[in-house]
Amino acid sequence: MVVRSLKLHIAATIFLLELIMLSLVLWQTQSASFEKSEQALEKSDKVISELLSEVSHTALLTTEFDTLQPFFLRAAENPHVDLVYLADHRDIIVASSDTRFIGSSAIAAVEHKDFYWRSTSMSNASGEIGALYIRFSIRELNDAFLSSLQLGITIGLSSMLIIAFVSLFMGTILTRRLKSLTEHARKMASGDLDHRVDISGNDEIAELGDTLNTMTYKLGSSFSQMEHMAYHDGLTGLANRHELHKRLNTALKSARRFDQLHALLYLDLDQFKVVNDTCGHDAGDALLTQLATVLTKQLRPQDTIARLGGDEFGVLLENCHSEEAMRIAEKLRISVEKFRFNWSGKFFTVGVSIGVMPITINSQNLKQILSTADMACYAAKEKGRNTVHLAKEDDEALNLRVDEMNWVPRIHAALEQDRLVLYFQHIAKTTNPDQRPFREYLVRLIDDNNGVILPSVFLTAAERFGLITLIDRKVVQLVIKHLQQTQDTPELAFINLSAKSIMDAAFYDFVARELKRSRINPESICFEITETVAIDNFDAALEFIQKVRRLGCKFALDDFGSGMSSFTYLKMLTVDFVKIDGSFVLNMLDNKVDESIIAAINQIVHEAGFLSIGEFVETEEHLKHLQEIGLDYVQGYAIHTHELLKTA
Amino acid sequence: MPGFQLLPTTILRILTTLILSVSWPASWAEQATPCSEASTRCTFAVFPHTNIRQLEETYTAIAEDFSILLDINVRFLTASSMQRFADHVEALDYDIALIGPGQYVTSAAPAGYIPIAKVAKPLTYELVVNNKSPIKSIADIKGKRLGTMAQYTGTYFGTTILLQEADLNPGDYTDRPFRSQGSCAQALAAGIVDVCSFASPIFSLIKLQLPNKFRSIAISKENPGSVYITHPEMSPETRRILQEHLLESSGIIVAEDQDFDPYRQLEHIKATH
Repeated sequence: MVVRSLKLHIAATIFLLELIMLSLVLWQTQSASFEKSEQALEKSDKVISELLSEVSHTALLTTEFDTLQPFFLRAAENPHVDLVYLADHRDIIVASSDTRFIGSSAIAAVEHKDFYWRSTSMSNASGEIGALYIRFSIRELNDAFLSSLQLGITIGLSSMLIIAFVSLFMGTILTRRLKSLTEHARKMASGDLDHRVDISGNDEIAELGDTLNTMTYKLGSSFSQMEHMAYHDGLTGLANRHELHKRLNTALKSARRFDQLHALLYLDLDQFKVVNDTCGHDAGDALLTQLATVLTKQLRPQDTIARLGGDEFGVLLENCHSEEAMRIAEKLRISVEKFRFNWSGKFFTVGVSIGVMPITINSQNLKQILSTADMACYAAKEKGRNTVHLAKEDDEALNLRVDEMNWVPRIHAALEQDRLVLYFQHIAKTTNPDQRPFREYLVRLIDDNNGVILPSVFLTAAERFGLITLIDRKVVQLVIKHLQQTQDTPELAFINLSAKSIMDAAFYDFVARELKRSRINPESICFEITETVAIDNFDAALEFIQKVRRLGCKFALDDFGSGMSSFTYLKMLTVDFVKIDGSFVLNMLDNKVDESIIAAINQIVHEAGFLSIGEFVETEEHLKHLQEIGLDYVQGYAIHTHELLKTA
Repeated sequence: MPGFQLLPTTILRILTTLILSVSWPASWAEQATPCSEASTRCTFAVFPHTNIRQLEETYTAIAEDFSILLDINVRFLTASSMQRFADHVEALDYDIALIGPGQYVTSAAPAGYIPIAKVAKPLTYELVVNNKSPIKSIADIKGKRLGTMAQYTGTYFGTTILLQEADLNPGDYTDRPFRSQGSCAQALAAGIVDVCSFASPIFSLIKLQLPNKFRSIAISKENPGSVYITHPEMSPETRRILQEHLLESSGIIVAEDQDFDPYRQLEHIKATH
């Protein structure tokens, strides 16, 4: 864009205005002056004409024209009078200021810009006796007018030039200050918020400069704040995931280019959930903030610690080999372990699982580094929490984790392509196995080769990567659809649910909506959760069980006894069925303790008002024993093997 | 040969004369007389016995009458002084003129002008002094300053007779000539002269303008008055028409040249001096 100078605009505008005004003033004054001069000349003309007429009249009467010559010559000395002559009654010039004309006919008046004529006719009772002609010159007037005009124009132009120069000068001063402002704005636009406008004075531009400085300062502050917010965690003040990724990228490049060694630590707090659930989010936030300080103190100045979300942290250790990284990770773990969190007079301890991922010249990319560090952390948790796991090549734990990760796309594909199918197994009444049985519906995945994949293979991955709720929903939909479409419906359909589903408020809404939409009897559905899931998520489990039972559905506690949980929970959890863990049944024929445990659990279940179910009943002998113990229902190959549910 | 050479020249002259005499129209041979139908000009001049604009006001009316009468534009003229008027008269510049009797004798008659009518009332001349002047009679003029007109004017003649009758000769007083009687009146009022000579009609006019300012100490006997004269080349018919017209006016009578002999006598007296 072509920038047109403001000062030139100002100077040109002033010059133009001046030109117009000067023209008007000059025209007005010169016209008035000329008009006045003309009036004065007209008066002078009249006087001269009258005087000369008087003597001319006498001369015409006396024919003594020689006496007129002195008058005419004297009159002609007036610069305004160019020629005077007197013509007699025959129109013959009888006297003239220029004697050459005497005797000739009166000269016809010719229009000329420098002259004009005045004629005075003279007569008496005899008639016209002659006429006086005077040719007046306005050359002098015109010359004076032109001279005055030239002087006026010269003075005017000189004034205009002076004013134009002054305007340019002032425009330069003005635009110099504006340029300063423009330069400042450019610097602002380029991100230089430290620049300040230096304009002195107390006029509007100086005020604008001050305002701009203030604005720039505030903008800089806001920008810094926003920048800080963009790259830092709002709660702990540590760097955020975005900042860590940025620094990781830099570190990765240096590792590749210069063979430098770095390490990424992936930290996941253990037992944080306990604090958060029991004391509330404020306590959780306070714990995270304090732990951030604790962790930071253990790090070197060049290290970067970031909060990745929830109770997860990442630490980039630059120029740090694996051994040193492991040492620092251990330091961090110990510092967290030793930390005592005080909330309302109660003390809590937490642990931290740390995955250590070396960043070397062979590291692939940021995603791989983060993923591996996460898996290493998971491996640390798998090792029993509050440990450190170093990711290595051919790391078995990590390979397992990778395997789990590989299941993610396959599960997604199965969900999208309806390759999740249901099998079922009868749950029979112990005292009358032939009675119309209950059914437990079990999910299977059909792989690309139409092979049937057992849930133990993919459910761990599904739980780990948040796909289990989708699977639970699919199973619920499939069961309800089956119950809708067939007459061969069981008295009660058992459906297994994961911990994540019962903790998901939206899942309950989904169940309620599906039941309402299908119009099947809710009492024909019995949801199962394992004892471990219930205990680990006790509040959520309790709430979900209550809400589902209010819909009319039944509820069963699965694998009871496997978690070595307290019987007290049975008092608190209002369920319909308790499934005794199958391991006790499997071993009961050889291990009297297991049989006793089954008997004890069965007794307590009954005491609590629930019905008991024995799993893994694989032989008639198992069935006979369980009948003797008094279990209410049995389930296992001795009763019914898993059978594919054929859909319509 | 001389004879051979003269013959053609003589013949040529004779032939030319014959051709011209035959072919020249008679009307072309006639000259246009003043104020005739054929003339292009006709002027009526009045001698400057008072100021020019007064003369114009009075006599352009008469000029207009002449114009109607003659069916030709009669232009009024005058002169700035008696001398100039006399010069024009002597040069026969005027076709018709009203002239004082003295000038008639000295200028018009010698130039050939023919008188046709005159003012009936005889003309007298008076010697006039300031009312407060110690001069009581004509004898008191001796040694005083006398304002007179030009020597060819009637006033001059009349005054000269009065002075001679009182035995006063030009050496007995200081003669101060003036261009007009009005000028003399002003000089008298201003004390530049002690005595002025006026024609009685003029003095009457002066007394109207300046009453009780002057008084007359002597008056002449009656003399012929102003005379209308015509150009000597004017046709008798034109002259007759003019005369008849003038005589129709009251106070105008026929003028004959001998009527002005008294002035010629005075001129003679002057010449003897």
